[in-house]
Amino acid sequence: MKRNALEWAILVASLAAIIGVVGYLVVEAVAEGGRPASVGAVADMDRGTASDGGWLIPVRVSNRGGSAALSVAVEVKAIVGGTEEVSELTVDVLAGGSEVELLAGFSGQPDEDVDVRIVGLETP
Amino acid sequence: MRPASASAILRAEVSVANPDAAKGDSGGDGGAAASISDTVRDHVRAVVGGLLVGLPLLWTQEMWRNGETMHPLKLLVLLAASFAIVVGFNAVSGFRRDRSWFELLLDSLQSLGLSMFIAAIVLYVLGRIEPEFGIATVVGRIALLAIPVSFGTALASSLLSDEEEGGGREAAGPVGELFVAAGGALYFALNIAPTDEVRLVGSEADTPLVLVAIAVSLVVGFATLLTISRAKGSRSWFGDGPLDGPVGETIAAYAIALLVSYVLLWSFDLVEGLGFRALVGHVVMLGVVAAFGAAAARILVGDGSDARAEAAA
Repeated sequence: MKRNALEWAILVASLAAIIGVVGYLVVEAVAEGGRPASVGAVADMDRGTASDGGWLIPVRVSNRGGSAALSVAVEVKAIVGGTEEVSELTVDVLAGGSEVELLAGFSGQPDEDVDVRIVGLETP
Repeated sequence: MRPASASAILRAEVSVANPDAAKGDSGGDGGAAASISDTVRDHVRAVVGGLLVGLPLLWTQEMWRNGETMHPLKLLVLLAASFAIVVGFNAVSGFRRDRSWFELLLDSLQSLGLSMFIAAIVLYVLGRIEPEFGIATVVGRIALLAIPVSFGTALASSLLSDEEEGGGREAAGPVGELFVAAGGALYFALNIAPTDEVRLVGSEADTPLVLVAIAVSLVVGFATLLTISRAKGSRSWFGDGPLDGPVGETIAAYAIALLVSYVLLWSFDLVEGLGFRALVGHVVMLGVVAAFGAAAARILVGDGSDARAEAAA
Protein backbone atom coordinates (compact mmCIF):
# COMPACT_ATOMS: atom_id res chain seq x y z
CA MET A 1 0.00 0.00 0.00
CA LYS A 2 1.28 3.45 -0.90
CA ARG A 3 1.72 6.10 1.73
CA ASN A 4 0.16 9.43 1.00
CA ALA A 5 1.96 12.73 1.48
CA LEU A 6 0.67 13.21 5.01
CA GLU A 7 1.86 9.76 6.06
CA TRP A 8 5.29 10.40 4.60
CA ALA A 9 5.45 13.71 6.44
CA ILE A 10 4.53 12.04 9.73
CA LEU A 11 7.04 9.26 9.14
CA VAL A 12 9.84 11.71 8.37
CA ALA A 13 8.99 13.80 11.42
CA SER A 14 8.89 10.66 13.57
CA LEU A 15 12.28 9.51 12.31
CA ALA A 16 13.71 12.97 12.94
CA ALA A 17 12.40 12.91 16.53
CA ILE A 18 13.86 9.46 17.17
CA ILE A 19 17.21 10.35 15.62
CA GLY A 20 17.35 13.55 17.65
CA VAL A 21 16.49 11.94 20.99
CA VAL A 22 18.51 8.75 20.52
CA GLY A 23 21.43 10.63 18.98
CA TYR A 24 21.59 13.03 21.90
CA LEU A 25 21.41 10.18 24.43
CA VAL A 26 24.19 8.27 22.65
CA VAL A 27 26.43 11.33 22.63
CA GLU A 28 25.64 11.95 26.30
CA ALA A 29 26.26 8.31 27.21
CA VAL A 30 29.62 8.27 25.46
CA ALA A 31 30.92 11.74 26.17
CA GLU A 32 29.07 13.37 28.99
CA GLY A 33 27.15 10.84 31.05
CA GLY A 34 30.27 9.64 32.83
CA ARG A 35 31.23 13.07 34.06
CA PRO A 36 30.24 13.62 37.68
CA ALA A 37 28.03 16.49 38.76
CA SER A 38 29.87 19.82 39.00
CA VAL A 39 27.71 22.26 40.91
CA GLY A 40 28.35 25.93 41.49
CA ALA A 41 26.35 28.93 42.67
CA VAL A 42 26.64 32.67 42.17
CA ALA A 43 24.64 35.59 43.57
CA ASP A 44 23.52 38.52 41.43
CA MET A 45 23.74 41.46 43.83
CA ASP A 46 22.69 43.96 41.15
CA ARG A 47 19.27 42.34 40.87
CA GLY A 48 18.55 42.37 44.59
CA THR A 49 15.12 43.72 45.43
CA ALA A 50 13.28 44.82 48.51
CA SER A 51 10.66 42.43 49.72
CA ASP A 52 8.06 42.65 52.44
CA GLY A 53 10.26 43.43 55.45
CA GLY A 54 13.50 42.27 53.88
CA TRP A 55 15.76 41.92 50.85
CA LEU A 56 15.88 39.20 48.18
CA ILE A 57 18.98 38.35 46.17
CA PRO A 58 18.84 36.04 43.09
CA VAL A 59 21.21 33.07 43.31
CA ARG A 60 21.87 30.97 40.21
CA VAL A 61 22.79 27.36 40.89
CA SER A 62 24.25 25.48 37.93
CA ASN A 63 25.47 21.97 37.21
CA ARG A 64 28.21 21.88 34.55
CA GLY A 65 28.78 18.14 34.97
CA GLY A 66 27.21 15.28 33.05
CA SER A 67 25.40 13.60 35.95
CA ALA A 68 22.51 15.01 37.92
CA ALA A 69 22.87 16.36 41.46
CA LEU A 70 20.15 15.82 44.07
CA SER A 71 19.30 17.72 47.24
CA VAL A 72 21.80 20.48 46.50
CA ALA A 73 22.19 22.59 49.64
CA VAL A 74 23.34 26.19 49.14
CA GLU A 75 24.40 28.52 51.94
CA VAL A 76 24.32 32.28 51.40
CA LYS A 77 25.98 34.49 54.04
CA ALA A 78 25.55 38.25 54.20
CA ILE A 79 26.40 41.08 56.61
CA VAL A 80 23.29 43.13 57.25
CA GLY A 81 23.66 46.14 59.57
CA GLY A 82 26.92 44.70 60.89
CA THR A 83 25.37 41.35 61.77
CA GLU A 84 25.99 38.10 59.86
CA GLU A 85 22.87 36.42 58.47
CA VAL A 86 22.64 33.04 56.74
CA SER A 87 20.07 32.02 54.13
CA GLU A 88 19.87 28.31 53.27
CA LEU A 89 18.50 27.14 49.93
CA THR A 90 17.86 23.64 48.55
CA VAL A 91 17.49 22.36 44.99
CA ASP A 92 15.80 18.94 44.83
CA VAL A 93 17.06 17.91 41.39
CA LEU A 94 19.64 19.61 39.16
CA ALA A 95 20.26 17.76 35.90
CA GLY A 96 23.64 17.84 34.18
CA GLY A 97 24.07 20.98 32.08
CA SER A 98 21.17 22.80 33.69
CA GLU A 99 20.75 25.70 36.08
CA VAL A 100 18.07 27.16 38.28
CA GLU A 101 17.53 30.55 39.94
CA LEU A 102 16.53 30.87 43.59
CA LEU A 103 16.06 33.84 45.90
CA ALA A 104 18.02 34.21 49.13
CA GLY A 105 16.20 36.28 51.74
CA PHE A 106 17.71 38.63 54.36
CA SER A 107 16.29 41.09 56.89
CA GLY A 108 17.67 44.03 54.90
CA GLN A 109 20.00 45.05 52.09
CA PRO A 110 23.46 43.49 52.72
CA ASP A 111 26.32 45.84 53.52
CA GLU A 112 28.61 44.12 50.98
CA ASP A 113 28.73 41.20 48.54
CA VAL A 114 27.28 37.99 49.92
CA ASP A 115 29.25 34.76 50.30
CA VAL A 116 27.72 31.82 48.41
CA ARG A 117 28.81 28.19 48.65
CA ILE A 118 27.54 24.68 48.05
CA VAL A 119 27.46 22.85 51.37
CA GLY A 120 26.21 19.45 50.21
CA LEU A 121 24.53 17.35 47.52
CA GLU A 122 23.63 13.78 46.60
CA THR A 123 24.44 11.91 43.42
CA PRO A 124 21.84 9.52 41.97
CA MET B 1 -10.30 -8.94 2.07
CA ARG B 2 -11.40 -5.37 2.20
CA PRO B 3 -9.65 -2.83 -0.02
CA ALA B 4 -6.30 -1.61 1.12
CA SER B 5 -6.78 1.59 3.00
CA ALA B 6 -5.05 4.09 5.04
CA SER B 7 -2.13 4.05 6.96
CA ALA B 8 -0.93 3.67 9.80
CA ILE B 9 -1.51 3.22 13.23
CA LEU B 10 -4.17 0.74 13.40
CA ARG B 11 -5.44 -1.77 11.11
CA ALA B 12 -5.04 -5.18 9.75
CA GLU B 13 -5.84 -7.51 7.01
CA VAL B 14 -3.24 -10.11 6.24
CA SER B 15 -1.43 -11.86 9.02
CA VAL B 16 2.03 -10.57 9.72
CA ALA B 17 2.87 -14.08 10.64
CA ASN B 18 2.69 -14.65 6.89
CA PRO B 19 4.35 -11.56 5.43
CA ASP B 20 4.85 -13.14 2.04
CA ALA B 21 1.13 -12.88 1.49
CA ALA B 22 1.44 -9.13 1.48
CA LYS B 23 4.54 -8.72 -0.65
CA GLY B 24 2.70 -7.45 -3.65
CA ASP B 25 0.98 -4.70 -1.75
CA SER B 26 3.55 -3.17 0.47
CA GLY B 27 6.36 -0.74 0.64
CA GLY B 28 4.71 1.82 -1.50
CA ASP B 29 5.13 0.00 -4.79
CA GLY B 30 1.58 -1.10 -5.30
CA GLY B 31 -2.02 -0.57 -4.29
CA ALA B 32 -3.88 2.66 -3.74
CA ALA B 33 -2.60 5.35 -1.45
CA ALA B 34 -4.57 5.95 1.71
CA SER B 35 -6.85 8.94 1.75
CA ILE B 36 -5.89 11.94 3.85
CA SER B 37 -9.05 11.59 5.92
CA ASP B 38 -8.19 7.96 6.73
CA THR B 39 -4.68 8.98 7.71
CA VAL B 40 -5.99 11.74 9.94
CA ARG B 41 -8.52 9.39 11.57
CA ASP B 42 -5.89 6.72 12.20
CA HIS B 43 -3.43 9.15 13.73
CA VAL B 44 -6.07 10.80 15.90
CA ARG B 45 -6.89 7.32 17.14
CA ALA B 46 -3.21 6.66 17.79
CA VAL B 47 -2.88 9.90 19.75
CA VAL B 48 -5.94 9.03 21.83
CA GLY B 49 -4.55 5.55 22.49
CA GLY B 50 -1.21 7.02 23.49
CA LEU B 51 -2.83 9.48 25.89
CA LEU B 52 -5.15 6.82 27.29
CA VAL B 53 -2.23 4.65 28.29
CA GLY B 54 0.44 7.28 28.89
CA LEU B 55 -1.36 10.16 30.58
CA PRO B 56 -1.18 8.81 34.16
CA LEU B 57 2.61 8.51 33.92
CA LEU B 58 2.92 11.84 32.13
CA TRP B 59 1.41 13.30 35.31
CA THR B 60 3.78 11.48 37.67
CA GLN B 61 6.48 13.45 39.47
CA GLU B 62 8.76 10.43 39.89
CA MET B 63 8.82 9.99 36.13
CA TRP B 64 9.78 13.64 35.58
CA ARG B 65 12.52 13.30 38.15
CA ASN B 66 13.87 10.05 36.72
CA GLY B 67 13.79 11.45 33.22
CA GLU B 68 16.02 14.19 34.53
CA THR B 69 18.45 12.05 36.50
CA MET B 70 18.58 8.70 34.69
CA HIS B 71 21.88 7.89 33.01
CA PRO B 72 21.62 8.21 29.20
CA LEU B 73 22.74 4.61 28.74
CA LYS B 74 19.87 3.34 30.88
CA LEU B 75 17.40 5.49 28.94
CA LEU B 76 18.74 3.99 25.71
CA VAL B 77 18.32 0.45 27.08
CA LEU B 78 14.72 1.18 28.09
CA LEU B 79 13.96 2.79 24.73
CA ALA B 80 15.43 -0.19 22.87
CA ALA B 81 13.43 -2.67 24.94
CA SER B 82 10.30 -0.62 24.46
CA PHE B 83 10.81 -0.39 20.73
CA ALA B 84 11.11 -4.18 20.51
CA ILE B 85 7.83 -4.44 22.41
CA VAL B 86 6.18 -1.86 20.15
CA VAL B 87 7.22 -3.94 17.13
CA GLY B 88 5.65 -6.96 18.81
CA PHE B 89 2.47 -5.05 19.65
CA ASN B 90 2.18 -3.77 16.08
CA ALA B 91 2.70 -7.27 14.73
CA VAL B 92 -0.02 -8.63 16.98
CA SER B 93 -2.57 -5.87 17.13
CA GLY B 94 -1.60 -2.61 15.52
CA PHE B 95 -1.12 -1.14 12.12
CA ARG B 96 -2.20 -2.51 8.82
CA ARG B 97 -1.81 -6.15 7.93
CA ASP B 98 -0.96 -5.62 4.28
CA ARG B 99 2.67 -4.94 4.82
CA SER B 100 6.09 -6.49 4.76
CA TRP B 101 8.38 -6.72 7.75
CA PHE B 102 10.04 -3.53 6.50
CA GLU B 103 6.69 -1.78 6.60
CA LEU B 104 6.12 -3.17 10.09
CA LEU B 105 9.45 -1.65 11.13
CA LEU B 106 8.52 1.72 9.62
CA ASP B 107 5.12 1.64 11.31
CA SER B 108 6.77 0.89 14.65
CA LEU B 109 9.26 3.73 14.20
CA GLN B 110 6.29 5.96 13.41
CA SER B 111 4.59 4.84 16.64
CA LEU B 112 7.67 5.66 18.69
CA GLY B 113 8.34 8.99 16.97
CA LEU B 114 4.71 10.04 17.28
CA SER B 115 4.84 9.11 20.96
CA MET B 116 7.83 11.41 21.46
CA PHE B 117 5.84 14.29 20.01
CA ILE B 118 2.83 13.44 22.21
CA ALA B 119 5.01 13.21 25.33
CA ALA B 120 6.76 16.49 24.47
CA ILE B 121 3.50 18.36 23.92
CA VAL B 122 1.88 17.10 27.14
CA LEU B 123 5.02 17.78 29.19
CA TYR B 124 5.18 21.29 27.72
CA VAL B 125 1.51 21.92 28.51
CA LEU B 126 2.17 20.76 32.08
CA GLY B 127 5.17 23.09 32.33
CA ARG B 128 7.56 20.14 32.76
CA ILE B 129 9.82 21.02 29.82
CA GLU B 130 11.02 24.51 29.06
CA PRO B 131 14.13 25.78 27.30
CA GLU B 132 15.75 26.96 30.54
CA PHE B 133 15.57 23.45 32.03
CA GLY B 134 18.49 22.43 29.81
CA ILE B 135 18.54 19.97 26.95
CA ALA B 136 19.47 17.02 29.19
CA THR B 137 16.29 17.43 31.22
CA VAL B 138 14.09 18.02 28.18
CA VAL B 139 15.40 15.04 26.18
CA GLY B 140 15.50 12.74 29.22
CA ARG B 141 11.90 13.44 30.16
CA ILE B 142 10.66 13.05 26.59
CA ALA B 143 12.58 9.79 26.13
CA LEU B 144 11.29 8.22 29.34
CA LEU B 145 7.68 9.37 29.02
CA ALA B 146 7.46 8.40 25.35
CA ILE B 147 7.72 4.75 26.44
CA PRO B 148 4.24 4.29 27.96
CA VAL B 149 2.74 6.55 25.30
CA SER B 150 4.22 4.35 22.56
CA PHE B 151 2.48 1.31 24.02
CA GLY B 152 -0.81 3.18 23.71
CA THR B 153 -0.23 4.25 20.11
CA ALA B 154 0.74 0.71 19.15
CA LEU B 155 -2.26 -0.79 20.94
CA ALA B 156 -4.76 1.77 19.67
CA SER B 157 -6.23 -0.63 17.12
CA SER B 158 -7.10 -3.16 19.80
CA LEU B 159 -8.34 -0.57 22.24
CA LEU B 160 -10.21 1.81 19.98
CA SER B 161 -11.13 0.32 16.62
CA ASP B 162 -14.06 -1.80 15.66
CA GLU B 163 -14.26 -4.95 13.60
CA GLU B 164 -15.73 -3.19 10.57
CA GLU B 165 -12.61 -1.06 10.36
CA GLY B 166 -10.47 -4.14 10.44
CA GLY B 167 -8.96 -3.40 13.78
CA GLY B 168 -8.30 -6.34 15.92
CA ARG B 169 -5.89 -9.05 16.57
CA GLU B 170 -3.63 -11.23 14.67
CA ALA B 171 -2.31 -14.70 15.29
CA ALA B 172 0.74 -13.94 17.35
CA GLY B 173 2.41 -17.26 17.92
CA PRO B 174 4.20 -18.09 21.15
CA VAL B 175 6.96 -15.52 20.65
CA GLY B 176 4.49 -12.78 19.76
CA GLU B 177 2.47 -13.61 22.84
CA LEU B 178 5.57 -13.25 24.97
CA PHE B 179 6.11 -9.80 23.42
CA VAL B 180 2.59 -8.93 24.53
CA ALA B 181 3.36 -10.24 28.02
CA ALA B 182 6.60 -8.25 28.14
CA GLY B 183 4.78 -5.09 27.11
CA GLY B 184 2.13 -5.53 29.78
CA ALA B 185 4.75 -6.29 32.40
CA LEU B 186 6.82 -3.26 31.44
CA TYR B 187 3.85 -0.89 31.41
CA PHE B 188 2.39 -2.00 34.74
CA ALA B 189 5.76 -2.19 36.51
CA LEU B 190 6.75 1.19 35.06
CA ASN B 191 3.89 2.71 37.04
CA ILE B 192 5.35 1.36 40.27
CA ALA B 193 9.11 1.13 39.82
CA PRO B 194 9.94 4.84 40.33
CA THR B 195 8.06 5.09 43.63
CA ASP B 196 9.59 4.90 47.10
CA GLU B 197 7.26 2.03 47.95
CA VAL B 198 9.33 -0.38 45.85
CA ARG B 199 12.36 0.06 48.10
CA LEU B 200 10.16 -0.16 51.20
CA VAL B 201 8.28 -3.31 50.18
CA GLY B 202 11.35 -4.97 48.69
CA SER B 203 13.45 -4.33 51.78
CA GLU B 204 10.82 -5.52 54.26
CA ALA B 205 9.81 -8.69 52.42
CA ASP B 206 11.08 -11.73 54.34
CA THR B 207 11.60 -15.14 52.77
CA PRO B 208 8.08 -16.54 53.44
CA LEU B 209 6.52 -13.40 51.96
CA VAL B 210 8.75 -13.62 48.91
CA LEU B 211 7.67 -17.23 48.39
CA VAL B 212 4.02 -16.24 48.75
CA ALA B 213 4.55 -13.45 46.20
CA ILE B 214 6.06 -15.92 43.74
CA ALA B 215 3.13 -18.31 44.24
CA VAL B 216 0.54 -15.56 43.80
CA SER B 217 2.25 -14.27 40.65
CA LEU B 218 2.30 -17.74 39.11
CA VAL B 219 -1.30 -18.51 40.08
CA VAL B 220 -2.59 -15.24 38.59
CA GLY B 221 -0.66 -15.83 35.38
CA PHE B 222 -1.72 -19.45 35.13
CA ALA B 223 -5.39 -18.66 35.78
CA THR B 224 -5.33 -16.01 33.06
CA LEU B 225 -3.66 -18.22 30.50
CA LEU B 226 -5.87 -21.17 31.39
CA THR B 227 -8.95 -18.99 30.82
CA ILE B 228 -7.65 -17.92 27.42
CA SER B 229 -6.76 -21.51 26.58
CA ARG B 230 -10.26 -22.69 27.51
CA ALA B 231 -11.78 -19.92 25.37
CA LYS B 232 -9.81 -21.30 22.44
CA GLY B 233 -11.31 -24.71 23.08
CA SER B 234 -8.19 -26.36 24.40
CA ARG B 235 -8.50 -28.58 27.44
CA SER B 236 -4.82 -29.38 27.80
CA TRP B 237 -2.44 -27.74 30.25
CA PHE B 238 0.48 -28.52 27.98
CA GLY B 239 1.04 -27.75 24.31
CA ASP B 240 3.21 -29.11 21.55
CA GLY B 241 6.17 -26.89 22.32
CA PRO B 242 7.76 -25.58 25.51
CA LEU B 243 6.01 -22.21 25.08
CA ASP B 244 2.63 -23.70 24.21
CA GLY B 245 -0.10 -24.42 26.74
CA PRO B 246 -0.89 -22.60 29.99
CA VAL B 247 1.89 -24.22 32.01
CA GLY B 248 4.72 -23.40 29.61
CA GLU B 249 3.39 -19.94 28.87
CA THR B 250 2.97 -19.15 32.57
CA ILE B 251 6.56 -20.05 33.34
CA ALA B 252 7.89 -18.11 30.35
CA ALA B 253 5.74 -15.07 31.10
CA TYR B 254 6.82 -15.04 34.75
CA ALA B 255 10.47 -15.26 33.75
CA ILE B 256 9.90 -12.25 31.48
CA ALA B 257 8.11 -10.41 34.30
CA LEU B 258 11.11 -10.94 36.61
CA LEU B 259 13.51 -9.81 33.87
CA VAL B 260 11.44 -6.68 33.27
CA SER B 261 11.41 -6.02 37.02
CA TYR B 262 15.19 -6.28 37.24
CA VAL B 263 15.74 -4.02 34.21
CA LEU B 264 13.43 -1.37 35.67
CA LEU B 265 15.05 -1.56 39.12
CA TRP B 266 18.45 -1.21 37.45
CA SER B 267 17.23 1.70 35.33
CA PHE B 268 15.88 3.56 38.36
CA ASP B 269 19.09 3.01 40.35
CA LEU B 270 17.41 0.73 42.87
CA VAL B 271 19.77 -2.25 42.71
CA GLU B 272 23.02 -0.53 43.63
CA GLY B 273 24.17 -1.46 47.09
CA LEU B 274 21.64 -4.25 47.53
CA GLY B 275 22.78 -7.66 48.75
CA PHE B 276 21.62 -10.73 46.83
CA ARG B 277 18.82 -11.52 49.27
CA ALA B 278 17.49 -7.95 49.16
CA LEU B 279 17.82 -7.89 45.37
CA VAL B 280 15.68 -11.02 45.08
CA GLY B 281 13.11 -9.44 47.39
CA HIS B 282 12.94 -6.29 45.27
CA VAL B 283 12.70 -8.17 41.97
CA VAL B 284 10.06 -10.62 43.19
CA MET B 285 7.87 -7.98 44.84
CA LEU B 286 7.94 -5.72 41.78
CA GLY B 287 7.45 -8.93 39.81
CA VAL B 288 3.99 -9.30 41.34
CA VAL B 289 2.93 -6.17 39.46
CA ALA B 290 4.83 -7.15 36.33
CA ALA B 291 3.31 -10.63 36.29
CA PHE B 292 -0.17 -9.19 36.65
CA GLY B 293 0.59 -6.76 33.82
CA ALA B 294 1.79 -9.61 31.64
CA ALA B 295 -1.45 -11.50 32.29
CA ALA B 296 -3.66 -8.44 31.85
CA ALA B 297 -2.03 -7.60 28.54
CA ARG B 298 -2.88 -11.05 27.23
CA ILE B 299 -6.52 -10.35 27.96
CA LEU B 300 -6.57 -6.73 26.75
CA VAL B 301 -4.46 -7.19 23.64
CA GLY B 302 -5.57 -10.68 22.87
CA ASP B 303 -3.73 -13.77 21.91
CA GLY B 304 -4.65 -14.12 18.31
CA SER B 305 -7.37 -16.66 18.87
CA ASP B 306 -9.79 -14.63 16.77
CA ALA B 307 -7.43 -14.55 13.86
CA ARG B 308 -6.68 -18.22 14.22
CA ALA B 309 -10.35 -19.07 14.21
CA GLU B 310 -10.86 -16.94 11.09
CA ALA B 311 -7.88 -18.55 9.41
CA ALA B 312 -9.19 -22.00 10.25
CA ALA B 313 -12.60 -21.08 8.83
